[in-house]
Amino acid sequence: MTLHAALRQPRVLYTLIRQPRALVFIPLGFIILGYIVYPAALVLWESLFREGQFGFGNYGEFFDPEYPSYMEGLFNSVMVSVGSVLLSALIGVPLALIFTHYEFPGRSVFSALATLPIVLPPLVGVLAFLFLYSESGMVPRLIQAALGLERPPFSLNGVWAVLLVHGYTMYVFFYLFTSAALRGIDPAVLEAARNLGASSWFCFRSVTLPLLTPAMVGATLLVFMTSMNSFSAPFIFAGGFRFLSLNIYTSKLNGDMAMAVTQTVVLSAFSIAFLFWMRHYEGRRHYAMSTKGAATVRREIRGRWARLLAGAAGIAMVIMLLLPHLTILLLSFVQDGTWTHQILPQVYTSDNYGRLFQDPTFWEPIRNSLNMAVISTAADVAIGVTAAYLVVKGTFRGRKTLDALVMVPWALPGTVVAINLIVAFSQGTPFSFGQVLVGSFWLLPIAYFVRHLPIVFRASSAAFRQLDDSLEEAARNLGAGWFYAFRRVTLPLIGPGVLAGTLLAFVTALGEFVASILLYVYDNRPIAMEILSHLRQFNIGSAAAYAVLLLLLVSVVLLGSNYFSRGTAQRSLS
Amino acid sequence: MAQVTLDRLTKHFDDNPVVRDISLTVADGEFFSLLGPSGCGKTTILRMIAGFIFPTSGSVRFDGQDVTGVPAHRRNTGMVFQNYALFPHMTVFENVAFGLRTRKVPGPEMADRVARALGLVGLTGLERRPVPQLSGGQQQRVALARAVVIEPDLLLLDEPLSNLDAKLREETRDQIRELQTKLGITAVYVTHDQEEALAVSDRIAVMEEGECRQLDRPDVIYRRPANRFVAAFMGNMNLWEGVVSVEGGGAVFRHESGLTVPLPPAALPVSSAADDEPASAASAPADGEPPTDAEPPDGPVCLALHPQAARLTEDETEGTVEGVVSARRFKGATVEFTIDAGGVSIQVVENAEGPMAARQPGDPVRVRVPGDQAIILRD
Repeated sequence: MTLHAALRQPRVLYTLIRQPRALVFIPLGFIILGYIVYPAALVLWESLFREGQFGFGNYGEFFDPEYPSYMEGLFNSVMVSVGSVLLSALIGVPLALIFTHYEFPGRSVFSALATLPIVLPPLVGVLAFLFLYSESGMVPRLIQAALGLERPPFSLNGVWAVLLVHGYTMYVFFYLFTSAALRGIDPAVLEAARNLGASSWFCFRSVTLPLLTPAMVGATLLVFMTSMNSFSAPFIFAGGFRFLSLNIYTSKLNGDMAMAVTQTVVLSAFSIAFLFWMRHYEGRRHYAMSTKGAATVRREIRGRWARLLAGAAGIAMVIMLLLPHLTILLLSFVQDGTWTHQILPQVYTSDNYGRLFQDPTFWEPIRNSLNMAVISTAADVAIGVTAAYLVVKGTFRGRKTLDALVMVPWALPGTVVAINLIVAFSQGTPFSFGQVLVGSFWLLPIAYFVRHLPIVFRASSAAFRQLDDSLEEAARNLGAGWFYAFRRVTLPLIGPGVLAGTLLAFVTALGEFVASILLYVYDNRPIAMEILSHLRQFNIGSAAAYAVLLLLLVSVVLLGSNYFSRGTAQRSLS
Repeated sequence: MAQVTLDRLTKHFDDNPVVRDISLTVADGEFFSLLGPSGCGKTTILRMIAGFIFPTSGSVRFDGQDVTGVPAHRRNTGMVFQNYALFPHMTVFENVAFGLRTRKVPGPEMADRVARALGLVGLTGLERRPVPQLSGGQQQRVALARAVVIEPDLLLLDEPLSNLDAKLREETRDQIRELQTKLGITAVYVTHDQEEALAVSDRIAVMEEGECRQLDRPDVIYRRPANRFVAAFMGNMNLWEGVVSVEGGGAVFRHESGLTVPLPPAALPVSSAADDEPASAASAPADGEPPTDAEPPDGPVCLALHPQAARLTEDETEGTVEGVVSARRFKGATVEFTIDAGGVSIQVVENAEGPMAARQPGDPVRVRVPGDQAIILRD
């Protein structure tokens, strides 16, 4: 046996020696195994023990009619998710059709505003709805006062409130997916249908609708999954109703870890099934259409009354969409403890903001959130971009597995991620270098990292996928070294996509609430927890002031992201 | 089968005139081409005939019936789109059957007609295939079958060949013409490729900036372009700017480089209206030339000469010009030369078997410029 042949034997070692670049698999594997796979596997393992007894006892209890609360939670979660899908589709799809097909004054403004709810951090949005539409909310009581009624004409709570919040925030998925699909339809195809004698309705039914189906299925799955995982809305509004995600939190608070992990496994199973169903559909979302970038033709709304109606509907929509933001802004000027039985707050002050500069503890949650967002996002970029590169451009076996493992946390609810981490790091592990992380600063940034890794990974994968290999080859052919080609060709092309993903991960981490509520400690309490604790003390003004600051941070980052990516796109065109 | 009349058709997009005052008639069963560079308005005219857009003024008539305001789906035209516009979510059969479904043709008859249409374009057996799985040429033929299966009064073709490779393009071009002749459908064909238009059309309208610059039979347009634009657009003609003067009893063209070409009276008429036939009479107002007269035109003119009319020669006889070969392109049956003749560049095509075909760049040659084959253009 020659030396060469001997070296070939341990395949992995050989690869590592011959290709030092393969070394990236070591940290990548360590982190994915340690923080994604191991915690989930441990939770699954623990759910199989009931008072030290191995078996399906916990699942027996879950499905046992003697304890209906578990099944009730599952049932309610599924029903609300179905309702959320219907409501979101009912708002999002017509909106997309109108904005794509018709031209009227203010169309571009309205269509930009239509994505606004997505900027609202989860807890903030729910709070706005609470102050607007709940029993003591401003809208029902204003109507009561205006009409001289004895009781508010309606008030939101329970399932209906959760549904409305979901509809408000999740219709954006339907809107965006449908709009993109509509833009992707070659106008010539619709003209061909008209030319062959199809009336508008027949054309819509037999051509437009089938072409939209994949996008709508995608949006349906996404909304269903998001709704199953939703925590903030049930947390604030559920009242006596049980929801699966909320049940996990209550079980954990009650110290029933066995049932907490069991329900975590059930919810994870749902989420992961939906994730893979959705990925399957995503693969076939786009019908291959050869267009020369033909622009969609918008029909101008001409009649005077039609224009008036369109304008009025548009303004009404803007008010509806902006009302939560404006409410939060208004409440941030309310002096703590002064708004009790009045319809509208009476005492206004700028003290809530004044404390920014006087009270050093005021800054702490903001600093904590920023710190943890920076740490977790940096890790997301390091791991997410590397993994994306390997998955898209790599040729090794196991690419699909890596892809799936990195994407799984996207489907996992924040509650699940939190429970997984609590179970995994309540004792020392090799992945935490023997440290117990529960109760430390680090568990929360790790949760942020895990939750938002898929955001960076997805954005980077898309960027790498669009990057034509021959561009780098052309640069190399023209004499550029590997690094020069990377710096001057690859980086400028993938940069905007990666940056967009990074900033999105960052702002999502800033406003994170669901994992935070289970994992925070006093020393790292994030903005969302500070808002909640002020709310519990009825310091509405302070809570709203924090919410406004959070909204400002989020808006600034997103506007910056828009600015940078647009600038680059323009440069690449000219 | 229909006759199509465009009457003073005008279309503005945001005050920007794209089609200006076009009047023409496409005869029943005729293969009519709209030819011109991109942005000349040819597709806009086609889309107005199809009913996708409506004219700013003027009218469209099918067989004398005004259809200007009739929506697209009530016009009974069959259109083949540049990118085929096949329905990506349907099979070949469903695509072809679509127009029959909208016409509520009963099932058995529908299947029969689809089968016949697919047979006509040579796609029998591919009925169940989803269209994204077809090659470009096959997609093109599905589009064609889909347009003719409804037995339209009018076949509209919007650059149907531009997405095919060169060889397939010629094949499909001939197939389209064959099908149109066989079915006897009136066809309006939009293209920017003059060879394509010359090969298939009964008549061609050459368009520029929304106006019709010449409307005639292909051979007339090729041999006697009516103006500089058409002459330049139709191929690699020699186009020289200069003036015509009367010298010694005959007209002479004089180029600024000193090149002179004696002109027989036949070269002088500027308009193709000389061929006077009903078709030309109905052509666009751009052809409003005065009738033939031998009076030499005043002012700057352009001399147009087909490169195959010029000849390389060694004789120093009268009517030849001295020059040097500056480029030589072998084309198989012919050889194209560019001759530098002291300030004027002359394109010459020689038969590849001819005695002068072997001349190489740098060789001195003489060129015979036959005035009797030159055309003097004033526009």
